[in-house]
Amino acid sequence: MATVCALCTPRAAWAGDDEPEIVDVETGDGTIIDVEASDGTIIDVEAGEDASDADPPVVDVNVRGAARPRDTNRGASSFDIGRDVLEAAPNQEGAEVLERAPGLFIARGAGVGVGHRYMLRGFDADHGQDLDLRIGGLPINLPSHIHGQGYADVGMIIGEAVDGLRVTEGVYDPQQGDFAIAGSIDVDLGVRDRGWRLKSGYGAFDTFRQLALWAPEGEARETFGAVQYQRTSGYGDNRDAQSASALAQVRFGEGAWTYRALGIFHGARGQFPGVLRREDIRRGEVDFYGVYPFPTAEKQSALNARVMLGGFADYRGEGGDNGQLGLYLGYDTFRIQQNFTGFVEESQVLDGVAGRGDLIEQQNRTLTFGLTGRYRSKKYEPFEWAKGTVELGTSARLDDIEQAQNLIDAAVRSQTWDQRVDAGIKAMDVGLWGDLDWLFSHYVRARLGMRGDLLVYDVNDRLGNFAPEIRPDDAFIVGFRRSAVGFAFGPRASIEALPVSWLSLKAAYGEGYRSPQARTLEDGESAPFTKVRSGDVGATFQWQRQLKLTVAGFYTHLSDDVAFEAREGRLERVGASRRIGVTAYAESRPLSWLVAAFTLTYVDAVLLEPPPPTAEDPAPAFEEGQNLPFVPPVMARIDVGAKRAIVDDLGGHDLTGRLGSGFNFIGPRPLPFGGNARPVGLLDANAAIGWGPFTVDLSLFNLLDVEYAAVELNYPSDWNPTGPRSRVPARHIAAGPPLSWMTTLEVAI
Amino acid sequence: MIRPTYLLPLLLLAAGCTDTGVDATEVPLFVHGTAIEEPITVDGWQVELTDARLAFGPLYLCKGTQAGELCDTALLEWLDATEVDLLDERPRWVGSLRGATGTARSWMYDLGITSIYTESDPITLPAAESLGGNSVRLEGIATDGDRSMRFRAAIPVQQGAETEAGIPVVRKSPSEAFEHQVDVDEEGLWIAFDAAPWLSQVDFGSMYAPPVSQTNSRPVVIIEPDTQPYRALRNAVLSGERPAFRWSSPR
Repeated sequence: MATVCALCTPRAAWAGDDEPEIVDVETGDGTIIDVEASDGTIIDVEAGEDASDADPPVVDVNVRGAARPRDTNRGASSFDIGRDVLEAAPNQEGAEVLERAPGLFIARGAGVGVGHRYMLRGFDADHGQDLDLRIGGLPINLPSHIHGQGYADVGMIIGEAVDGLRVTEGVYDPQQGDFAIAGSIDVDLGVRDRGWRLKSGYGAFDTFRQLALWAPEGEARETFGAVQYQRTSGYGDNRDAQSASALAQVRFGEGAWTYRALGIFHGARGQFPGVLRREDIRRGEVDFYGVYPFPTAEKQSALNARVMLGGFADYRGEGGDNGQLGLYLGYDTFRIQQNFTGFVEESQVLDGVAGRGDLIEQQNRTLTFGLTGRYRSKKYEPFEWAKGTVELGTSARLDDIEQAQNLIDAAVRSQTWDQRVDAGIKAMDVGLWGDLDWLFSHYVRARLGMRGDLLVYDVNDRLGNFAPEIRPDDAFIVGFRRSAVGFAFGPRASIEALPVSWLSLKAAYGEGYRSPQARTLEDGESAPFTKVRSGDVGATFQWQRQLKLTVAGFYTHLSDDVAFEAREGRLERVGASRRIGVTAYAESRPLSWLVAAFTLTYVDAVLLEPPPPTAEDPAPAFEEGQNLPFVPPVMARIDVGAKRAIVDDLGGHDLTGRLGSGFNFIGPRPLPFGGNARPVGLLDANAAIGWGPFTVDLSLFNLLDVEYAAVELNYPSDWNPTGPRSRVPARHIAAGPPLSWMTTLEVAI
Repeated sequence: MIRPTYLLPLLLLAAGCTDTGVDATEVPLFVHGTAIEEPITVDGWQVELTDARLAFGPLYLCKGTQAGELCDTALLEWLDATEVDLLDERPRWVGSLRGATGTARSWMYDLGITSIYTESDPITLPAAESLGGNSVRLEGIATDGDRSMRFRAAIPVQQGAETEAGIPVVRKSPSEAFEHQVDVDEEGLWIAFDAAPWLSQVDFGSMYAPPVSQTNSRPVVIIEPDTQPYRALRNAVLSGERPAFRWSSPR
């Protein structure tokens, strides 16, 4: 038996020397009550048979387990997003739960086969280069990916199996490694409602979705299995797509050591229409949701298949010491055919061959082995006013990468007419960190950590030294093999003060890194890391469960930013940059059946040292002092959800109703070569009614039917194969989805 | 003190004020020829042009000092082509250059016949079609004492095996001076062509053949390919006297 207070404030938790914890209920019958842990997590606690009627409201309960021995809340911009916020508004796909992270916007510009584009508080993280993403503890970002450094496709997420998000904006936790530039997001997997659940949905554009989920009764919340299949004809033209995901996780073991095994399978293939020039849309030459009528445009498609397997052993000593050892294995295959520029490319391999359509084929295969390990000591208490822990940890991974980039002619059975990349990369990242977490009196908590990473690269660039116009082809054998190594090191520090129980003040500073794209390295080069220096200052106000408000100011400096280069369909360096901004996030639960969340981010992101003009590039797209391209200065999101019984005991079951709504606002985004992408406001809503095991849901997406660009770019292209070639930068868009609907029948057993 | 209710609109206003470094712009484009008041003297020949027409376009202005392959991304472009009366000095508006603000340091253009990657042979635009599929057409009278002849030249100027496909044929060289800061409120760009200097290297004597009959004292000489006059004219149009670029009205 343990005594749990009904509302534990952070200060109360500190006073009790407890780390924030998530607790699962074990047994007993009685009323369900909510208990809030010190990290804000709401815990269902079922009162035992000796629950008392005592006043004040203290109850005796049986509780079991503690799932989060390590606190990741460091800076003011660390957020735990709970299940109720994640499910307040409808999602078109599971990955959209990520949009509840304050300041994060995600969009798909190329269908289900390609990862989302991420934008997070002043960073255009493209496909993940600046955002460290983990699902169930497994790292999602892929280093040196052909389609973008740190490529992270989260299409495997099944929304119903997401238990919460741990969002760390900035880099203040020494556990944060590669790609934690703008921050990191951990997607915790788990299912609260146990049993079987089947969901069948059908909606606009012949979209069908089937979900089967099972969460065995009596097992830990982390134990579940889920399979999802989805197909659609897609809005507009050329958007047929199918995808499937399977997630399975089991927590087992008793005592000091418990174990978690996780498997993730995901496969998707989708056509997409690619980008369209705004001017061509305006002139009526192509529809906003259409595709250019050329094979090189109509054959755009992408395929992704990924398998990840992980096993974690968690240790919790009786003295509060704890640790984890994890091993994982991953395999990812990716192939895309995408044309950004129309008909402007010429072959570098075949003499005099050009204009066969700039359909870039990229292939990438990554085999990953990795481990994580950490141990946090028991609490040391050298003085009455000072006590704390020490942690040591490591993370290591080996990636075996094969990648290629070619130009193919879609009109002639995908003939290859140019080769741009053919390379094999072996990359290893070995990281070590230490962390001190100390309390000074009941009012101040300080954390100081260090992290170092050694990265080793072995690159076999099979097209290296290829220069057909300079040297005769019999003077050497094409290829450039090289190796490089680099060491990244940086401190992570934060301090938190609790002057009163409802107010937390935080300041944090950290230095993080992003690994380089291995193919850009020279032999023996000290691998140049992109270094980020990040600082946060802010405050969190908490008024019981009714309102939690965080306001944080931040500053980040990036040593070497990158931006999308359309001609090669990948990222190129653009120089140092900095961001100054503020994020506000509020969660409110004014009534037991109502939850709302609001976030607003404003950032001024500026390019500091753009590359100078060169003979090869006399007209660079970027100028000193300009706002960073693709980065929206203002982003906002509102989620509101309500769920309650409408009619009690109707034929043996309550009739319940649920309403939800989510609104995203993305401010105008500056573009390379001038101009701004138009601002976007998107409203989603749903209504559901449930009776016993049955629930019917109707969801509407883009309720205002806003015609918007999921991706907007500015660069030269030529999509007129019969006329003079255009060479000035032009606006290009990939259309986002219009108003659509989905109705779903759910059976929960 | 800013009231909280004003904060969001202020932020949104600020969001619309991002500095992207450059602005989109359009610059009106005018072309004209040069009136030739007096006969042109070429190696003792007095040459009078009676008709001179040029197919001009497309035109690109570039940021680098050297156009051509290094102008994959142009600052301004005009993708049309027009027929220019080389003897008419009245400017004629032919459209607008479209692009962005910035410094233009070079230019390149085609003469109504342009190479595109998707076609093995250069394509002929309507302006050149109206000249019989040629870039330039000159007609005139050349007189040297009692020798006199009419001449007619029609020359296509286009990419060939010796030139880079897909790149306009007439390009500013790095040594030529050309620089202009293009702003959003440009009055226009005036391009003036002068055909007279193009004749300076033509060997009119090699073209002359005495009349075969008394009734035709001025025979018409068609300047054929693979002759010195043809090559001289083609070279002059390609790399001889450049048109004058002005960023304000010549009047």
